[in-house]
Amino acid sequence: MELDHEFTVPVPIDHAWAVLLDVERVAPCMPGATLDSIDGDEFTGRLKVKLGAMTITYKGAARIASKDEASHTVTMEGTGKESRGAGTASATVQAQLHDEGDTTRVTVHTKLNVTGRPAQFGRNILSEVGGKLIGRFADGLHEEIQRGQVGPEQAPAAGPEQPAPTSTQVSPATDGDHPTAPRTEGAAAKTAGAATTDGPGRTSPAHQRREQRPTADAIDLLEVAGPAVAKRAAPVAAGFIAVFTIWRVFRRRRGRHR
Amino acid sequence: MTTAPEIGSSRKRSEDARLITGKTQWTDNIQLPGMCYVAFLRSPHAHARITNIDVSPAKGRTGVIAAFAGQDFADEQGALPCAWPVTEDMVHPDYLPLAINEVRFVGEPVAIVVARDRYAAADALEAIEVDYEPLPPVLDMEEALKEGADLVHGDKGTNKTYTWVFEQGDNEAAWRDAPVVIERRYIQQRLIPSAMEPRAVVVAPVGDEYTMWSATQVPHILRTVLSVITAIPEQKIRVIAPDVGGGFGSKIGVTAEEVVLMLAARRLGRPLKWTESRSEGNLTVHHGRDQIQDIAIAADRDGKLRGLRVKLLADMGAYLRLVGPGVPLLGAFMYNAIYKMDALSFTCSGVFTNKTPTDAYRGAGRPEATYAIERLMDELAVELNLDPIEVRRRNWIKHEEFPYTTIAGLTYDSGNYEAATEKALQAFEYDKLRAEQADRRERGDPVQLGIGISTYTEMCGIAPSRVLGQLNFGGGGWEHASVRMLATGKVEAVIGTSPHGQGHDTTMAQIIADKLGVPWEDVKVLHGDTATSHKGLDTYGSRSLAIGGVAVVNACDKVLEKAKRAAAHLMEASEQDIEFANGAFSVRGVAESSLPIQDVAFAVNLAHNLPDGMEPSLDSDATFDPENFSYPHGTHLCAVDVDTETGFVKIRKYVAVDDVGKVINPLIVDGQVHGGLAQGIAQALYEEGVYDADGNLTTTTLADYLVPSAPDLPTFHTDRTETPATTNPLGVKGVGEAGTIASTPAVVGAVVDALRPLGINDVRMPCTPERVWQAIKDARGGAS
Repeated sequence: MELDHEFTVPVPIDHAWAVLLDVERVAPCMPGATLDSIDGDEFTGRLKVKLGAMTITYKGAARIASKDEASHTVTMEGTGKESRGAGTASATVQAQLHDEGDTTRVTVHTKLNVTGRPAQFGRNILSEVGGKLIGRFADGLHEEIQRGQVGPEQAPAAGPEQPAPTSTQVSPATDGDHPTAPRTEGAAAKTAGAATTDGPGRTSPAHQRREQRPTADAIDLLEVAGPAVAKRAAPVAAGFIAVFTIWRVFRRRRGRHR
Repeated sequence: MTTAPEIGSSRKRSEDARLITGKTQWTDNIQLPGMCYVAFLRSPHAHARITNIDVSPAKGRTGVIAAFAGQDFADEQGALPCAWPVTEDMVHPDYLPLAINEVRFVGEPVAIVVARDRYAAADALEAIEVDYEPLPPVLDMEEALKEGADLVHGDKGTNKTYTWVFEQGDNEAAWRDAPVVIERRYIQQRLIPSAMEPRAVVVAPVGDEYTMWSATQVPHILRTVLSVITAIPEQKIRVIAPDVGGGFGSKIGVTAEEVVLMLAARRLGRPLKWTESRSEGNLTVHHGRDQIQDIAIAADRDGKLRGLRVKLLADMGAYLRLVGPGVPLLGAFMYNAIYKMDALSFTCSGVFTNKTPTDAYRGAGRPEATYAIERLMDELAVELNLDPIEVRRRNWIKHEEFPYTTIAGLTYDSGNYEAATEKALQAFEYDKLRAEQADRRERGDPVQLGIGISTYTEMCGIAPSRVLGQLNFGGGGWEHASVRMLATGKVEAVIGTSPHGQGHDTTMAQIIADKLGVPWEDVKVLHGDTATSHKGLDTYGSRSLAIGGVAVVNACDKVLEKAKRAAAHLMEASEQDIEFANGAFSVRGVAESSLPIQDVAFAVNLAHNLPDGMEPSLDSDATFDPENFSYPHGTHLCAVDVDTETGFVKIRKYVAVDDVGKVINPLIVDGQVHGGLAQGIAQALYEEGVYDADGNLTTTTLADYLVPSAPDLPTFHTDRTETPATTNPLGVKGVGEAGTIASTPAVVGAVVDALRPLGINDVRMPCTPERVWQAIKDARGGAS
């Protein structure tokens, strides 16, 4: 399935470009995503989605497959496997920045392949859900880039100056009934190292973002998909009403015979 | 004392109390000491190479006692059978019960976990590690046949399994200078049989012997095939089909799950159970239909048919199932339907795709054929500006022409298409509705009325063994029954057919009650257990009554013959002077002489005083192998309201007049017609198995695969004409599939008829509001 999104951010292209290449800042734009480790242009993490009664956690890896400063295009590839189940998900996301003076237009083209239970969930639901998911990612990216207008040079830099508060750093990666192990020490340290500028007392864009977006919460895809799923529930409700009506009519008829 | 005949009486079904309340033995409620539960890990990919599989992490999970991958059974699992190699050179890839190197459809099993309870087994599946290397999926039949296409079976070099050609008459002459030629393409969407009871299997090993309970239609076939696959001697396998909650063809296979449970039970030496979930079932129960039909007719200007040309692509899915390749062939002989013509040309190619394998689904080949020809007769009527009934009338076999050998080479023994059609037209108020339709068209009513017609026939009672042999089918078509009168005068009948909702307990008892002159309540019908029913060929293809019922009659006749000899002996009279009526023997001309058959049974059971050479016990075995199929027919008329603004289709009136020959139990026949109509209408309006572009089945739940329920269906007006079959002593024809075969074209024909003024001549099934709306939009867009 292929999806296209487009949005505009009120920052010049160079600023936007710097944000786009910062995995640490971009990855959490994906709702439900948790970063586990970063190693150069490759990173591992988890993506938790909720589909009705199903909560699915994908564990996987992603990498920046290519970045071309001249055309301001970056391509990210990710693959994931359900941590409880046989399903897989993979995506290729290509984001391109278009210089429009003081603003930058961002186009995002996504190729998404999903197998397993969510893929079998229902006709059209997946594309709708995928669309919404990417839409939210684009929104997040939009916000992130807007924050980025303070300038990339002021954006978080590496350096473990202050330890980060664990409440925001070690994400509470539980999916309700099945606790998932928190990220490994090494990965945590690495991530912490990469992101510790947002310590207490300092206000940084990343910190604000973390405060506002509890990234590891599962995103409820049915909630995201909204009306489409409500439509599906309607026949069930109608069925109940019909049965009830028949029962009442039947009862009344019987009553009359008596 | 004479009692009212049982045959023809609307007996309420004796099995229904237990079936409706569920207080009976289903496979899933069997509990055995030490029983463990099996869960299957299934491929999430439509097509992938398995690069690594490790089941060992699952073994450490709580409650798990074993886990196996395909490799663990590599030497013993054999391959799942296809019993119908339709051509000599049919491409027939191995269909492994558990995939080893490659998976070819979403849902194909790759490993199992055996655990102490169902939930532990299901939970432990996640611990199995499988690495897949995805391969390009083949999903479109026409693409699959192109040069250089990706292959479902790489080593076979082609996605085509066979091409079967059937030519009758002088096709060249029929098409040469034909004044009218109409060509159409129809799509038979993929359907998922949705039996109320999912599949379930229990295997209990005792020593080197095995008892399998399975929610199957075919315990006898299953036993034989299991023996061949596993090399367990047939006498050491007992298969039991306890009460089974529906099948519609979906339970005629010999499935991966059955074979794997057998192997795992043998390996572990303990009883195992598996019950599928609904979603698992939608993925892995074989699917039905899924054909592309290119069909053309040549006719004269007066509407007389000259020739019919059919080119089919039939989607086999990833592998060949038990009778999958033969399903389109069952339709091959039915494209000409009730019509006379000079030539028939039929070509069918079976195609592999990375989808769930297909096989027989209620009607199997015949609904597809009936749909295509009936739709095309409507097109011919439009072309010639004739009433569609009139076009049919000009071509159908007249009642005085029976027996009639059709262009396909079948001899229809009996029928009366005029009578059934006349009865249907009257009940439907055809002329009145046509007048209303004209009026609404005139007024430009946004809700248009459409009328659909199906004057169908089908071949039932599958089948004459000889004919099956000619078609290269790997099985026979006879049926068996044994009838015994117990010492107390009660009757047990053992039948070789295996009911799963059809009401054999009731119907067969009615036949026996009449034949032996005993109360219906005194007859017990046994079936479905290879230890009690030692021979039989099970239930499918509307064969149980037309073949199995006749075996019952034959067995009763043998019982009576023996009883008569014994009665003559006991009454000290000559056998020629013995008469039998109302359950008692008497000596002709001796008014007071009367010996109830029950007394004869008691005496024969005692064996104190038997005629020379007679064996004790009043019992008999009989089989029946028909000479010919039976040919039910009928006329179905459907009126629909189509809302041209929303695309919503509402069935307003449905009249079904069926001729299924003699009727044993009218209530059961009506029930079969109702259920068949529901399934045929479902294909027309609701159901479709949908795959996405990656080969994921996206209709795995009943929220997405729309099986209609009572509120979705109209009130059916059913009626009958009765032209007895001449090919069996009961005069019966079979009714299990008639409703499904007849109704789909009637409904779609009605939808198209409503939209005809807009220039629409087809709406793809299922005719959902969206599709109808789109067709209207496209038609209007094109016009403006």
